[in-house]
Amino acid sequence: MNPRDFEARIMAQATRYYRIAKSILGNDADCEDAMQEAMIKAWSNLRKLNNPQYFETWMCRILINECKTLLRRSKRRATIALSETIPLPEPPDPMVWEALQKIDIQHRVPLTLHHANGYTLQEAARILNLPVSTVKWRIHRGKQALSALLEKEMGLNETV
Amino acid sequence: MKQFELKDAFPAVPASFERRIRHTALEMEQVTMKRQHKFKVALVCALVSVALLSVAIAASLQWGVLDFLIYRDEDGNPVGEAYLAPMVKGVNLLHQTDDFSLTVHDYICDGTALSTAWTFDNKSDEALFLYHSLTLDGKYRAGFWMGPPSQGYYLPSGQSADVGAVWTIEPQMQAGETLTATLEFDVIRSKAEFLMPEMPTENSSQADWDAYLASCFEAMESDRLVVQLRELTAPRSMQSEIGSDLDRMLEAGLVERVDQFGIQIPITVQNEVKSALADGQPIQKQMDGYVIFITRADLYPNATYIDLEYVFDTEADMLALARSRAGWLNSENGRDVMLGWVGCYIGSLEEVSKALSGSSQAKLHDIQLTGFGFSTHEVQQRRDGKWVVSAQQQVTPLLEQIREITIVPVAYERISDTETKELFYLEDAIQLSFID
Repeated sequence: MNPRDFEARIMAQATRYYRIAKSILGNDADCEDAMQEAMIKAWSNLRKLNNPQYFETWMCRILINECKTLLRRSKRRATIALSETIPLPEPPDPMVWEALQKIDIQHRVPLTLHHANGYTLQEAARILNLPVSTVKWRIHRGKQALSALLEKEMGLNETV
Repeated sequence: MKQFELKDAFPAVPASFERRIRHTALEMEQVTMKRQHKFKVALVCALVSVALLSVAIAASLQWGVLDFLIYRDEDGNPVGEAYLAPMVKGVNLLHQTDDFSLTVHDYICDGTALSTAWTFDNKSDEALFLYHSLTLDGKYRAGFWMGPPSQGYYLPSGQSADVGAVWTIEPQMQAGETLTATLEFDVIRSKAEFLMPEMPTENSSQADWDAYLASCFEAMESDRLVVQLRELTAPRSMQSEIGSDLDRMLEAGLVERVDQFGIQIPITVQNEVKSALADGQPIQKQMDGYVIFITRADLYPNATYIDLEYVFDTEADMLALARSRAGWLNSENGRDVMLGWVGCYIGSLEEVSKALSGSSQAKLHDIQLTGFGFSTHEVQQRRDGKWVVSAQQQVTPLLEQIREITIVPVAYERISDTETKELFYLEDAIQLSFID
């Protein structure tokens, strides 16, 4: 795979990668940093990918690991509030976003993979390196937590 | 009742995110080089007291691997030179034609990585492009770690370039082992007009690099070749057919080969592996409900390798620790245990304790171990019925001479829905000493 092909495959799934990073890190600057690091690691280790058809799921896993590494490091340093000069795009449903951020990350990530990014349970399990049953359970718990938060805030019925 | 879609929880992908993807794709190999400048500590080995005067003199007279590897701190002071100097082996291998000369100066090989330096001198009337790769004989394979773009290096007419690169070696070699490394070179000349956006220097700001990469991206939309990060790139209009693969650019007549050759370097591995394990026996420490085993703690010039195991008498003990130590990182079944972090820090227990408690201003260097934290570890039940959770070994670069490493169990306590607090179990810390 040459760099152009690599870039094309990454760009084709940019929305999915962004949602994954966003669900873990929250802020866009960290998402970009994690994406960059993930791309570098993926490119450096491309020869270890035995089945090219799994490139996207493999890339997701690398990205998730990078997000978690970044999250871990950010906990050890003081965060400095930056004044935003460029307004960031708002999610279509900010309340769902706020609620999503409040649920446990263990449940938030598989929920995002399956319901926001459209990965099957098997694909999400492969990305997370977890049994399918575990992924199903975490999605179930995530949906319960999300519904409870939204019902408490707005009295919504869950439809995902 | 209003219905919602989880997809609606996310904003649209920001343009900056897509731009970062494009820029990263452009600079993938150059980012490695940038990280070399920003994080040159990744190449620096621990210090050793002896320095060879002859090597120091050689380094001051000509380009060599030490010039490439030495990291300079914020004050400009070299770090690691005294440790690396005894391991430099000069080779001074020359290949030359009427158009150019190439000299491989020296190398350092510690069995885990090979670093080497060369000078390319363009004596011709035209710009030349130098492409290189490395192969190792026998069972060994060379990975790519740091250096110039692996695909190419642009050099104007009449100029010289000093180049350095580091490759990982798999599997690891032992001290005294020998092999032959072949540096293979392609010297290329462009047959078509090319654009070359002005490249920032190594001291340029991130904004300068972003602007440079953006201009490369725009230049690629032209119908001319583009010198992008020192290598030739085919025009965008041709990339769907030939990409920017050198061989295909040669076939398409966009470039022509001036020379193709290999320089064989006889390599002898030299390293000083220090182990914190006396006589190779694992270090073990009894904890509350489990035992920690350190089954490997090796200090190589280029890397540190630490293997950890948590051993539990029962599965219930394992799950109990996961719940008590991991805080909100709890397990849901017997195969999904997350034990929280294990912090691994450079320094004595006293130094690390002071740094973690904030009573010391000294900078705390940590070594990040894979396999712990959010990811599941490898969990196995042994034949004796005990449960073992093991960490993956981690290669990590060294910053300075390391004598001691302190391993501290760490967990997180949830303070609120979005905040956690780190808990350091200093009373359970394990100190590894690499002092001879």
